[in-house]
Amino acid sequence: VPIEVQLWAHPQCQTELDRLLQEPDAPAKSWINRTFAVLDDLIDRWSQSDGEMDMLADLRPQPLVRVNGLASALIPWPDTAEGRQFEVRCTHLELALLQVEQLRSAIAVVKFPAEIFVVWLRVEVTDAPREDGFLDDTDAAVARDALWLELGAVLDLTWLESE
Amino acid sequence: MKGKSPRRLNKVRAQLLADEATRAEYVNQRMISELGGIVARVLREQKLTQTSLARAVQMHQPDLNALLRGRAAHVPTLGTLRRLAQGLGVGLAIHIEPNGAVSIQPTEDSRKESEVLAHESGLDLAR
Repeated sequence: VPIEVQLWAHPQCQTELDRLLQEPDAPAKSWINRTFAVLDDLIDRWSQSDGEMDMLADLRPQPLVRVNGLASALIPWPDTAEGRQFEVRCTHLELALLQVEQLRSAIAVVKFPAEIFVVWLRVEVTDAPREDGFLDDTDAAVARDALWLELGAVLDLTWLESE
Repeated sequence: MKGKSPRRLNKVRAQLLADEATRAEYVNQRMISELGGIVARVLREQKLTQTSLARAVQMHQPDLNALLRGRAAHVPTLGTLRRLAQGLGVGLAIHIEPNGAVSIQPTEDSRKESEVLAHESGLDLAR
């Protein structure tokens, strides 16, 4: 059964993307463009697969931090019909931080039986990172913690079910 | 519901790719990402190390690492692609659309034939 893979943006993320793209002569345009290329490649690859994949193993650049989520443990909230439907149908969830040059993105991969939503949750411009993608050791620790905070945004993704 | 609307990104992408230079950068990054994924997967499947592959294909190990991580500064040259295909034992099919879109895919496993070619050309495929 072919898997439909779709790229979405959290509304706040798209607002920030639009703002960055409107800055004159902004290098962020290149970073956003290349991030698009990375995500589109990932989506094409998954679309051609049978859906049985190590979700973020093929992400290039490799994610700075990744969290494998137990969807069933994440979705008892909100306690609404939509939330409960989300809980029942969502089979897998991964979160990752992705750094392309000085653009850091939080990405969620939300998997359902026949479709996968790749969601650009958050984007921010950082200083020039080290080879490992972090600014320094403190940044690395803060970034890891920040990823867990993205879970709140993922929980808001019950709106995906309404489409 | 939180009153938020999900957003598809097609419009943003279309605006970006309307610019020729930006489109070229996008195509290059996609090709680097695709190739990095192919090389990484074959390395895993064949239990090759980056060091041994770098030696076999005459690449600096940091350059190979950058390719594997999708961070290569440039699209590999045809000569580098040829050596990678030979060293990995996989064919690489590069498809270029009239609109400039490029895709790169591994073809059927030709490892045995490639090892012969590598041996004949003096490439070191020791693991």
